[in-house]
Amino acid sequence: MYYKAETNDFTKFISKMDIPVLQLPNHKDEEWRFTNLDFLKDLNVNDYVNNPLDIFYKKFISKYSNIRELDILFINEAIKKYPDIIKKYFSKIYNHKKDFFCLENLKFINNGIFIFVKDNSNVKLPIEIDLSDLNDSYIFPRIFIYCSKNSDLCFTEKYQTKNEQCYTNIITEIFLSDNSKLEYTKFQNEPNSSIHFSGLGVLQNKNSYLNCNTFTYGSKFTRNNIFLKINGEGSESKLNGLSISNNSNFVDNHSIIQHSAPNSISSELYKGIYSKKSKGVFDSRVIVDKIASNTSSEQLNNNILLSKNASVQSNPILEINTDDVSCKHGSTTGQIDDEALFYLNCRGLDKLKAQQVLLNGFCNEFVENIVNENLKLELNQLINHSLNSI
Amino acid sequence: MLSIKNLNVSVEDKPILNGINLNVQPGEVHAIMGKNGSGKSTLSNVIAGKDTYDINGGSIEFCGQDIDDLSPEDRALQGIFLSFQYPIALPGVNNTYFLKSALNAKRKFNNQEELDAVEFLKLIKSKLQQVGMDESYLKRAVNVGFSGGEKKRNEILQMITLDPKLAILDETDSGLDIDALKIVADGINKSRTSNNSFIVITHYQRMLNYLKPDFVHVLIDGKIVKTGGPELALDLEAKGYSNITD
Repeated sequence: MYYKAETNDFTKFISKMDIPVLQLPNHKDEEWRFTNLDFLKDLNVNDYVNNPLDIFYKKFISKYSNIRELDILFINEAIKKYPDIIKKYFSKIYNHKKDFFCLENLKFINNGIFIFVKDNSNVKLPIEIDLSDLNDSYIFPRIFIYCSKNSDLCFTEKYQTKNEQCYTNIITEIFLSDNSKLEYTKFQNEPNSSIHFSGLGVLQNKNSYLNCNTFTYGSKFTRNNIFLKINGEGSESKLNGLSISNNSNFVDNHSIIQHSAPNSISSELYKGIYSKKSKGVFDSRVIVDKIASNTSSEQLNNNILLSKNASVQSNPILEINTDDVSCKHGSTTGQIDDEALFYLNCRGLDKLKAQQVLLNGFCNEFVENIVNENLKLELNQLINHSLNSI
Repeated sequence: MLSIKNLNVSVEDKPILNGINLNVQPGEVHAIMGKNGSGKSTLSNVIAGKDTYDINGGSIEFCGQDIDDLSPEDRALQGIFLSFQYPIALPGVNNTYFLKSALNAKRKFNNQEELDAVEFLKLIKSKLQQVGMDESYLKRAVNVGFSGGEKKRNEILQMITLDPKLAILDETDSGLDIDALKIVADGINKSRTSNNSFIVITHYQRMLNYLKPDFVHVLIDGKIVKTGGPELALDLEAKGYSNITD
C-alpha cells in the first residue's frame, strides 16, 4: 500500500519545489564509487505503510517546551512563523537536487522538527532526538535547526531501534549564525540487519563553531553523509567519527567540507575498528574555494582491522583553489600493534585484556572530543558494549 | 631466583645469544654491560617472554620453575618485570587506568582483593612522590608526549607499584640527566630487599655508582665473557671493551 502524505502547508511547500527524478546511484557516480547499493533494488520502499512521526514529534516538542531559549515546533508551523528561513534554507543546506536519499526523504515526509535557538542563548542539556523506542520498519525523520547569533547549543540524535528490519533515512539541516556554537552528536546502535542512511548539512556563518561527532555501531548498511559549507570568516569546524563494525556490516562515512570564506579552520578525525567480514569507507573531500585564503584544514583517518577478512577504503581528498593555505591529510590502516600488546602483556595483562585496553584507548581519542560529560559517559558505555560484542 | 643455563637464541637464523649462563640469587643486583648489538636487549626480552626469538637450546628457570612455556603475562604475574629500553606510547590509554589494570591483574593472581579507585589513588600518590612525578601525570595517556626522562621514570613508577621479585632494567639510565638518574636510582634502591633481585643493563658506569651492584657481567657477541665486582665497571669505563678478556 502506497502511503500518500496528508496534505498540509509543508507538503504544499514541497510540491512547489524543483524535484528531479533520480535513479539509485551506482559506482560510476563519484560520490558512491566505493558503495554498492544493489541490495536496495529488492527493497521496495514505495510499498510501505507509513506511520508518520507526528506523535513522536509532538512528544519531543512538549518535552522541551519549557526551555525559553528555544522555539521548537513542527516544520509545518515553521513555514508560517519563520517563512524567510524555510524559504531560504530548507533543503538547500543539504541539497536534494543531486541526492537520491534526500529526495526519498522528501517524498515520504509530511512534517518534521524545527528548532529555533534564540540570540545569545545557551542550552547545554543536551537537546535529544531519541528515536530508540520507535518500532516502525521505515523511519524518515527530518530536522532543521537554526542557531541564532551568539547562541550555544548541545544537540544529540540517537538511533537505537530494536526493530531488526528497520530502514532509516534521516536528513538534518543546521544553520549556524554569526558567533554561534553547536556540539552535535549522533549515536547509532542498531540491529545487524537494519539499514541506516543519514544526511547532515551544515552552513556556517562568521566566527561560528561546530563540533560534530558521529558514532556508528550495528546496521548491515550505514551511510553517513555530511555536507559542510563554511560561509563565514573565522569559523571553526570539527568533524569526528568512530565506527565499530562486525559481522558483514558496511559503514561508509562520506563528507564534503567546503571552505568558502577566508581564515577558517576545519579538522576531521575518523576512526574505525573492523572485525570479521565488515567493511568500511572513509571518503572525504575538503574543497578550498578561491576566496578562502588562510584556510587551515586537517583530515585524519585511522583504522584497525581485527580480521583478515575486514577491509577499509580510505580516501581523503584535498581540492585547493587558492594560495596561502595549510592543509594536510593522513590515513593509517593496520592491525593492533604487537609491540604495544607485548608491553601490556609484560605488565600482567592477558591477550584479551590487553587488546581491550588498546581498543578502548583508540576509541578514547574520539570520546575526548565530546565536551558534555553526560554524553561522554553514555558513549563510553556504548563503546564498551560494542567492543565486547565484536 | 633466576637461573639461566647455556641459553642459545637466534633471530631469523642469526645467532644472538651463544650459551648464556647467569645465576641471580634473591637480594642481588647484577649489572650487564656490553657494546651495542652484544645481545643485552635480546636477553631481557627473552626472559620477559617475547616470542619473536628462536630459542635453540638451554633453559631459563625462575623461582625453581622452567618458564619456557609461560606467556609474557604469566611471567609478569609470577614476578618478572621488564623496564623497557624504549617504553611504548599507548594513545588514549590513561596512566591511572593502565596502572590500576596492571596492579589488579597481579593482585587477582595473588588471591588479593582488587583495589577500588579510592584505594588505588591513595597508593599511587605515594609512589608518584618516590619518583618525583606530580599527579597531573595520572591523567595523561601512557608515554604519549613524554620526554625520554619521563618515560624512564614512568617505568620505575610501574616497577615500584607492581613490586616484582625480579626487575630487569634495560638501559633505564639512557637519556636521563643527572637529577633524573638520581631519582631513578633512588627509586630502585628504596625498593631493594633481601627477597627481590635486579638485572641492570647499562652502557655507563655512572648508574652503577648509585646502585652498587653485587656482580658486573660483560656481554660480548652473545656470551658473558667476564664477571666481576663493581670494580669491573670502573675498569670498563677506563679501558673500553676491547681490553676485556677472560
